[in-house]
Amino acid sequence: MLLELQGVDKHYGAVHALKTMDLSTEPGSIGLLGPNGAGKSTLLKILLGLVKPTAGSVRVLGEDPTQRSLELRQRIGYMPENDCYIAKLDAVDTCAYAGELCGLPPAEARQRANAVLEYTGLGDKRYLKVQAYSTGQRQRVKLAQALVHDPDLLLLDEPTNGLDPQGRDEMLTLIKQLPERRGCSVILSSHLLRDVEAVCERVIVLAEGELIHHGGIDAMQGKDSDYYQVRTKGTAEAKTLREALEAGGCQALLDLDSGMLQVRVPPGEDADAIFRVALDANVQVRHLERRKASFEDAFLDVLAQRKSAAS
Amino acid sequence: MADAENKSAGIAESKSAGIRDLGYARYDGPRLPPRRRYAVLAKQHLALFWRGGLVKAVLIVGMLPLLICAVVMYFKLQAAKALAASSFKYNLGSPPEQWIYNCVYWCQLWFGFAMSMLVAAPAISDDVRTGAFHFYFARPVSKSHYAVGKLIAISTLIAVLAAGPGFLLGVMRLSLASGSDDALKSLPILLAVLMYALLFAGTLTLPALALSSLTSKTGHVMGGWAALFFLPWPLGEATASTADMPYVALISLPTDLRLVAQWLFGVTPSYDVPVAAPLGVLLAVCFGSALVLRARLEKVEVFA
Repeated sequence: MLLELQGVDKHYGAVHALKTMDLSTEPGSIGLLGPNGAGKSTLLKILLGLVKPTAGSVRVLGEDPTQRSLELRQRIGYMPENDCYIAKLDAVDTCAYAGELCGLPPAEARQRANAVLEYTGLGDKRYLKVQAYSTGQRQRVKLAQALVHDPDLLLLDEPTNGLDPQGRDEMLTLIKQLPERRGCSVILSSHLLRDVEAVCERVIVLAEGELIHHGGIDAMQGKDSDYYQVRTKGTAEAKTLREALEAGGCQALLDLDSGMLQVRVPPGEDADAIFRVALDANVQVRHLERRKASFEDAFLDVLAQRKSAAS
Repeated sequence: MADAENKSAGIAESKSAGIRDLGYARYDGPRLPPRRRYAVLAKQHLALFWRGGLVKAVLIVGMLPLLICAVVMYFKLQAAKALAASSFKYNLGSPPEQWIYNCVYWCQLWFGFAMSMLVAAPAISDDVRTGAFHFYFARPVSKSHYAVGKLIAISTLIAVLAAGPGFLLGVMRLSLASGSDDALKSLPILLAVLMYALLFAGTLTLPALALSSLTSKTGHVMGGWAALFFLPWPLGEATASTADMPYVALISLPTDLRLVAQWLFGVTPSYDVPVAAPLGVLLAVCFGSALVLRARLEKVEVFA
């Protein structure tokens, strides 16, 4: 098991950062999602043993981070979101130093630093000082220093931050290949849903310190998240239909520019429900198409469901 | 402008750079136990300092007083030895302990301070600026490993500057002793040099590190450290002399170091105060700095 959390609670004074979280997940690529203040950073700190939970038990890679945090951190690689380098060191020295700090012998650390910099595409620039690198190159160094000591688990915090589209694609390709090529699990914390969708098999969604979803991305984009795109004769009719649909228990959004309605029907219903409401409201439906919910739609849906459940 | 250049460099780089897997073999050999990570940190910092041209220059120039003192001491002691049996009375001037004290205190004070400006002042402020705390603390490195590793590296360099010349002069004094009694009398000099070097290194390292942990601006740390070290010196000495209040002189770290060094080397003290007073001030400054450093490191957040 990669992570096992039971009843994990974390308070910072009056702030309830994590609320009785139960979670167990197998190794693989996992996305960690949630709006600001959701508790992602607190969860990462707990996983690394940097803070202790107020209550509950945690096991990461079978180890208890509250008891053996240094030993556990030796098995974890962390790529931070912000700049992170040692002044005056070049990329090889930075990665070799990172390896030595994780217990590798100096010669082994240097050899692996060279190999991992080749792997991240910095081979020919590895003797330049890190502060002279471009944003994209610094991201690669951060990934290389997180990988150099053979971690079993890699924590990546916004790994595509500041990258141009091509650099972003390359970084995501690199990350996607890690579990297969290096046998490590990946936890990717990101605001960019496209990045998570491209790399991860499963997601953990947090909101206000609560775990609101954990499971496969496909399951998150399930049938209930699909929606219908509906076009009527005109905008006035679209408004009438929207009101009627909402009165009938559907969720309907009207895009005034295109005049299209996005309709989500209640669970167990299908397009017939829309036609029935349109007939009752005397509105002519000119176009109706079922659309698969994007990952972003599914994510927003999960958050909206949680909000409505809370209210 | 620099950002724009970096951005364009980044785009160019991302077009050319590609993944090149040289093959991957998992490392299953022995690893250094986490409790000894401070040693890795200290070693890396010493290596990094050694690459600095200015650090090397201070170390080399810092040995010049040793050469001068050694030559003067050699000729004076040889002359004294040669003329001891004759009817001439050769006046050695001040005793050899005084020369060693002059070399260790008056000369090495400046080089030690210069070294602390070069290596201690930026030691933590650079890490604050470059986000290196993430680099260290997300790894199996505790905050005490971090502080101890830096402290060992910096104080070693400063202690070498203070102890090196004094120790060599002490050994030379021993080898030029006129007899076994004279040699035995000179032995405590070596101990005095070592004790002074430890105190000197602590005094020049801990406050500078504590200041360095307070800001990301190395220039501010350097200015603050220089002011803290030198400004009370003339102030304390002037007040102590004019108002005949010797204890006021203790507000200055160089004066405190001087009084302790005078006691250790058996030289007449500049002020009539018990040695416990300047020693207490120096230890209090070191202890207080260690507390500030600890408090600042406790507050470091690895994830914002």
